Amino acid sequence: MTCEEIEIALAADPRSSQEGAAVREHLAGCEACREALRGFERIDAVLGQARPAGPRDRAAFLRALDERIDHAASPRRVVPFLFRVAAAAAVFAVAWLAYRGLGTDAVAVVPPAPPAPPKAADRVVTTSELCVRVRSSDAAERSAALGEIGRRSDAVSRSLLVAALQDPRLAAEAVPIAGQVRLREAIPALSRIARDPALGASAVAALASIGGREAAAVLLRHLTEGPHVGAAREALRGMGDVALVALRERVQRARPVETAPLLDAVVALRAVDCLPWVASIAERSGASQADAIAALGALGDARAVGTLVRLSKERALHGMTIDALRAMGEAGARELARRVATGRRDDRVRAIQLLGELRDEASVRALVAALADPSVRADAARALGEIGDPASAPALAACLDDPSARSAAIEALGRVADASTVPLLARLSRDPSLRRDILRILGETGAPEALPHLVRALGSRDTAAVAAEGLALLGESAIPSLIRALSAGNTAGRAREALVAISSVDLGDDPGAWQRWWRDRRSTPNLSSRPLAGPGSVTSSGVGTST
Amino acid sequence: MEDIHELVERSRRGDRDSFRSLVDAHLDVVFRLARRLSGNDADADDLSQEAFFRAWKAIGTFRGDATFKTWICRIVMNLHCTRYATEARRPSEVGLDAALAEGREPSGHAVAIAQELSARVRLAVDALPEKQRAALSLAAYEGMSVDEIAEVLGSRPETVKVNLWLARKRLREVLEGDLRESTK
Repeated sequence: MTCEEIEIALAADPRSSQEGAAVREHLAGCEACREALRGFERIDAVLGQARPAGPRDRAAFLRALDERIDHAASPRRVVPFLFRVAAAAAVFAVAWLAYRGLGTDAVAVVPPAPPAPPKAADRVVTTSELCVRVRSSDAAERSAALGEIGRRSDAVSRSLLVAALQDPRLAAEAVPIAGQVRLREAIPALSRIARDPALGASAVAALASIGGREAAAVLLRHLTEGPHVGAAREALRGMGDVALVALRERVQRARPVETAPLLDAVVALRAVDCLPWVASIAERSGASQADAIAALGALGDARAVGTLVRLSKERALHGMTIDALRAMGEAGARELARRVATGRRDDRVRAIQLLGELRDEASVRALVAALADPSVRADAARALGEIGDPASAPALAACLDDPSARSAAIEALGRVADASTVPLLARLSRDPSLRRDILRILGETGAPEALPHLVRALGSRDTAAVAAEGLALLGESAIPSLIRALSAGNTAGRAREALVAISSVDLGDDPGAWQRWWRDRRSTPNLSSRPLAGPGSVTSSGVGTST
Repeated sequence: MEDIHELVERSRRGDRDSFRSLVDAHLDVVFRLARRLSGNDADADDLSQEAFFRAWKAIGTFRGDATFKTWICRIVMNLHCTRYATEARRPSEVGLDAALAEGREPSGHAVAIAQELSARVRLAVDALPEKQRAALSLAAYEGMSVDEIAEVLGSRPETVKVNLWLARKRLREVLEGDLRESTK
């Protein structure tokens, strides 16, 4: 025997095949086959542990089967095929003719209704009687008959109910009954009724009650056509796994025209199994591309992040992908944060940039951690600046020593700085190489706490200009300090520039004139309540009311 | 448990209780096969229901040449083929989480790791071609002989042997590392 023949014999039955003399003999001299046998035995051991369980709810399974068998006739004995066909045809013909006979003389098989029958509850109503009553001109009698048909499980009653669904007079009442009794034979008729504007919603509900793969497949068809798309979507949502499986199969053979409604359904049912299909639509340019990108976000599954990151590189799709990632919520940001820490540098930088654009404060920790890596430090600093969380200021300050990240870190500090960061900025302003930038940032905080630091900087030739700009940014709260600075020779010029920038008037270098203007302004309600123009709006020198 | 042959005979005479006992005795086998073929619990439930229902309707024609087990498994196979053959569906889309949930083993010490390996095995089995998957499932989970499997699948015993060989070889390739770890 060859090794392959031995392996086949061992695979067919790893235990008993070893009992054969030829196999035993071969194994004794062949290490490769012994290894193959060990492999098969290991597989069998693990397969034994992986043996799937039976149905989750055994009792419900048996009950459902009992009900189905109750609906069916006794088990068939061995009878000639033609006889079985003839018998089935006869049952159907009786039911159909009885129903469609419409009371004409031609239908002799339908016995006439008994005269003035007693209450239905008093005696057993025959199927033939039901055939007559269901066509009664009395709506109450029709309704009662339909109810009785619904309670019966024989083949004729089921056929009657299906026939009633096709009668405009009875359909409205028959539809919910077909749903209540979960009549699978009614699915084709209900599918037709589901297109009816008036009865469609009721038919959709009945299909949902019947449940199962067939009903789910019909409901999925109504997602893409007909007047009850919303109702079908809600019904499918209530059907659980069956609907998800049907949807997964449906999308695999979707026609282009059906893409949009199926995308809606995928989102409504949160069918994450359909993610590959949605991603394939999102990656193809076409009418549904935007919808598919939005669906990737709405599904909230982190596995879509890779696709969205790729698509974000295309300028035309960038905004959509950001919206989708934002819609994805925490899952998307978490996956991006994971990508910040692993993978190729290009991919990490892309993830960092996207986190910055998402402005998700929960990502700050991941981005601060990325500051430790010189290869992505500048990008992480910029992203932190986009997010603008003051808590990241100390980490950004620590990057100022890295020349390659310094400008990005300074810019980011400018974006995250607020009153709480003033002490940190004040410390940084002692560094001559940073002073000018930090003073500007102090001014941009608009925080009164920055005032003494900026006023002090007015006295230095190097920093006076930027300090004046910063004070101008602080606005009215800086005015008393600036008026005092007019008295000092080395700060007067810049103080005046700042006062002009804030007030839009130029009263020269005279501190007294500025004092009077300021006093007047504060004492005049109309003026004091009006905000000053602020920096950048100086109109012309001498404009004002001080004279 | 009552003799299966006796239960079959009484079911042929229309005895519902006997048929219920037959269903109860074979439900796990049928469901497991349906689960392996269809790839999810919902379809497996439908497929098993339909198989037992058809068995009830056709039990009058059951001649007893085969065992009831191989007969009902053959019904499951036929139903699966006629229902899903045109739909080109593959159950391998079931994810690891679903496979983990499928096992429903009780949690306990070291069970988490075993569960994970079991789930990987299920995924690997699900990824096999249909005939290999069915043959392996019947051999490994139900202990059927090659001849019995051949009867269920409607194949020759030689074909079943080759299918079992290919299935086990494929699993060995896919799970080589995991299996070595688990048996250390």
